[in-house]
Amino acid sequence: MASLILSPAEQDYIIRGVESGFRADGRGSLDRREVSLRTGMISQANGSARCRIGNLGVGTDVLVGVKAEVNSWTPGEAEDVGSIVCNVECSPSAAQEFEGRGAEEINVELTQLLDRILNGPQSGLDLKKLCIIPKQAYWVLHIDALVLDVKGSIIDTLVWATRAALMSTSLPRVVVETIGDEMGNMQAEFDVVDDPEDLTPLEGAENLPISVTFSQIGKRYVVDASEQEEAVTQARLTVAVSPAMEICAIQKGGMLRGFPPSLLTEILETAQRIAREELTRFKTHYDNAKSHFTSQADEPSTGSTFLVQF
Amino acid sequence: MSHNVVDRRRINGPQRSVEPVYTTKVLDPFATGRLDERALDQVRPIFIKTGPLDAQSLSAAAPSGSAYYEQGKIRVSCAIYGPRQGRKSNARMGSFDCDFKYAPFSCSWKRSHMKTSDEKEIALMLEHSIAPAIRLESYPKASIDAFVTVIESDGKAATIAAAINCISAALADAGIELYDSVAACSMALHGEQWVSDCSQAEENASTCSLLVARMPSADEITYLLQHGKTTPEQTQQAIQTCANDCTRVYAVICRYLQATLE
Amino acid sequence: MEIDEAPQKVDIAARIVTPGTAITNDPAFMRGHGTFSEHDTIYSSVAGVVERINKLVSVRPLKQRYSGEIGDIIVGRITEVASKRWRVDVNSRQDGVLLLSSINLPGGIQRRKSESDELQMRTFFAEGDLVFAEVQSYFADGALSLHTRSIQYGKLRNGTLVTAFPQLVPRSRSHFHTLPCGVDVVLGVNGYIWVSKHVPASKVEANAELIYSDKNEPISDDEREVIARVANCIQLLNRMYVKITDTSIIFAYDASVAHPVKDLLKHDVAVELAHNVMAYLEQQG
Repeated sequence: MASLILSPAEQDYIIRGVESGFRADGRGSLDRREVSLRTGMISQANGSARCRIGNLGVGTDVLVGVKAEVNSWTPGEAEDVGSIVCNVECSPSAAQEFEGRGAEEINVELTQLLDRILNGPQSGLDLKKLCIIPKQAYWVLHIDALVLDVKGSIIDTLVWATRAALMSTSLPRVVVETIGDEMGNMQAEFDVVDDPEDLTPLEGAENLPISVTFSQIGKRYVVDASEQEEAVTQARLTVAVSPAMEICAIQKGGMLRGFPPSLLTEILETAQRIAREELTRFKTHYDNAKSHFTSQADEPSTGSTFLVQF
Repeated sequence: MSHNVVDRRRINGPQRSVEPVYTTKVLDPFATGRLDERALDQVRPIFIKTGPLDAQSLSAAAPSGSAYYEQGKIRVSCAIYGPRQGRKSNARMGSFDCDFKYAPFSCSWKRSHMKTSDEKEIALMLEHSIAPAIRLESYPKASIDAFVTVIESDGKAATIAAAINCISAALADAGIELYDSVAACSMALHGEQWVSDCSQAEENASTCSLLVARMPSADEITYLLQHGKTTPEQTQQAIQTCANDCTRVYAVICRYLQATLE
Repeated sequence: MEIDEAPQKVDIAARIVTPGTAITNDPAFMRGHGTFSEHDTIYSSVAGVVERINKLVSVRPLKQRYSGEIGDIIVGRITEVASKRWRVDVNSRQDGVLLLSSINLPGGIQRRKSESDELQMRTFFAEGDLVFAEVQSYFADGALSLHTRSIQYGKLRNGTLVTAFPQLVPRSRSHFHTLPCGVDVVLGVNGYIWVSKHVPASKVEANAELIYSDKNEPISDDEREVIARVANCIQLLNRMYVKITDTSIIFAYDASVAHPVKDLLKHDVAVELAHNVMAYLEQQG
C-alpha cells in the first residue's frame, strides 16, 4: 500500500494514540469515516459505481465499471457457467509512486484479492445464471476498478464500490431458440435483445460480501486506517463477510509482524459486528446513490454528470 | 490456457491448446476415505534437503542458502541470495523480496513461461508470511532475496504452504537471523468436515481452502488466507486445527535442521 | 490593451486574465511573477488576477506551488541526508537545503570533523524527520537555503502534521502560536502546519542536549483530544478555503466545542463551522 514517511516522533504519537483508544483525528478504534457513493454514472457500462471513503470530500476514491460480454465456450472450460474477470488499476493521479510501473505490485495484490472474493460461490452470485447456452456461449462480466485517490483503507473502498457496481448491473435480455437442421440435429441459437429498456438485473448481487480491514498498530487494532495510520501499521487482516454473516475470504497483509492467535479470534468476532453495521450503512447509501437522469431534460446543461454532487 | 501475448523469446507451439478431457468419470476423492489412504487430519510426509542440490558449488555466485522440499507429490525448491547490497542506501531495516514461479510442467495443465498475476500475488503472500520472522533490523541497507520454483504442484494452498516451509529451511541454511522458523499448513472444507493438507483433486472437490503460517515459539500467525465461504465458527475451529498442524510441520523442519548440524 | 497609467497601490478592480493575455505595452512597467514579455508587451503567463504595485505588474494565480521568500517560516520534511547537508521537502518546486553549518549543535560543541560524517548527521536529522526552519537565502539554482539557528526552531515532536494549501497561510510576524486551549501551533507558510502539545519554552532551553531527540513527552488523553480538535479545525478551515491564522483557528476551536472531535470532519458540521468562522472574521474587519 502506498505509504507516507513519518518521523519517529509522529509514528510514536499515532501509536500511543491508538493504544489509548484515541486516534489522531479523534475517532475511536472502530469508527469509520464518511462515505460518498454514486452509481450508474457511466452510461457505456452495464453497471458502474464510484465510492469515496474519507473526510470533507477528500479520501480514497475508487471507480468501478462492469461490462458484460458474450464469450464462446471452448473445450476444457466448465460447461454451464459464466465467468467474472477482475482488474484493478491504481491511477498515477492517486499517488506519485503509481507512475509507470510503480503500481504493478499493488495492482496485482488488489486484483487477486477482488478475484478471490468474487470468483466462486462465496460471492453470492449465481454463475450458472450467466450461462446463455451450455457448451456454447456465456456472459463474461469484466469488472474494472480504477483507483483515483488513496488516503488509506483502499481494500474496503474497492469492495464497497464493486458491490455497488454489481448491484446496479443489468444485462440485456437474451432470447434462446432451438432450431433443427436437415439431419435432425438440434442447434441452439441466441439473440441479444438490443433494447436499452429491456434489461435484467444481475441476480444474487445483494448477497455479495462486504470487507472490513483491521490494521494492527502497536498493541491495538483499528478499522478504516487513514494514510498516516497505514504508515505505522504492522500487520493487516481483511475479512470479507456476507449479508448472511458467513466469512467469504480472509487475507493477511503487512510485512512487519504476525497476529497472536487471541487477537485473531477477537478480530474475527468484531468483524461480524462491524460488517453488520457496514451493510446497513451501505444499504442507506446505495438507495440514495442512483444518478437520476432519466431523460434528456433532467441532465444539467453545464457541469459534469460525473462529478455532480459527489 | 492460451494467452494473447506472443512470447518472442521461445519457439511457440500452436496458438491454443488445452488439457485433454478424460472420458472416465473423475472419482469423488473422498468416496472411500482419501485416495492416498491418509487420515482426514494427516499431513503428507515431508522430505527436506538443504544445501546445493549437486554438492559442488562454493563459488561466490552461489546462493547463500538453498533448500529442496517435498510434501507428498509437491516438490519445491528455494534459493536465498543475501544479505547483499540493497537498493535503498538509507534504509534502517533490511528488505526481504520473494520471487515465485511455477515450472511450466508443474501443474496438470501447461503453465505459461511468463509470470502470471497469480504467481506475482503468491510472491507477495510469501513475503508477508516470512518477513515478520526475519530480524531485518540486523541487516540495515541490505536485501535478502528468495527465489522459489515449484517443480511439481498438488493443491494450490498446499503448494503455497510448501513454499513457505521451503523458504524457512533455506533461510536457516543461509544462516540468516530469524526470530523463529515459519511453518505453514493448509486445509480444505469438504461438506462440513475440514480435511488437512489436500491434494489438487481433493481441493477441487472442496468448497473452501484455508492457509495458515505460524511462528510457534513466538506464537504468532504470520499468514492467514481463506478462499471460499464458511461460518465464523468453522473458520475459528479451522484456524485452531491448522495452527496445530503447523506446529507438527515445524517439528519436522526443526528435527531436520538439527540432524544436519550433527 | 493598457491598464490605468496612474502609479498607485492596487486598488483598481482586480482583472482576471488567462495565459497569453496582453496586459500592457507601456515600457515604464516592470514584469513580476506570473508574466512574460515579448516585443515590449507584457503578457500574463498564468490564469489569475492582475496585481500592480507602483511600477511592478504581476499576475497571481489562484493556486500555485509554494515558492519561498527570504524570511519565510516553514515546516519541512527531511528527504535525504547528503554530504554536510540535508535535503528538505518544503512543498515547493524544489527541495530546500539545510546545511550542516546552519543548524545548532547541542550544547555548543565545537564542530568536529566527525559530525559531517553521514552516520553522525543522522543523529541530528534523519530521513522522515520534520523540521521547523526559516528561509535564509537562495542557492544559485533557486533552491531555498534553510537554517534552524534559533532555539525555537529545530525538530518537531509531540504532535501531528496537517497539510493545507500554502496560499491560505498568510505571512505574518509570528508563526509559532500557543493557543489558549493549551496547544502549540506552527503555521508553516508552505502549508505544512504542526499541532502539538504545549511545551514551555523554559523547558526547551533547559534541555539543550535533547533538541534532536525523537522521544515525545508523555501526552495525556485530554491533551490528545485538544490536539485532535485543533488539527481537525485546521483541516476544515483548509477544505472550506478559509485563511488559516491563529485567530481563525481559535474561533473555529471555540465554535467547535459543541461537537465531538470526530464529527468535525463531517460535511455538514464542517460547513456550518466554516460559515461561523467567516462571519466572525468579517465582523472583526
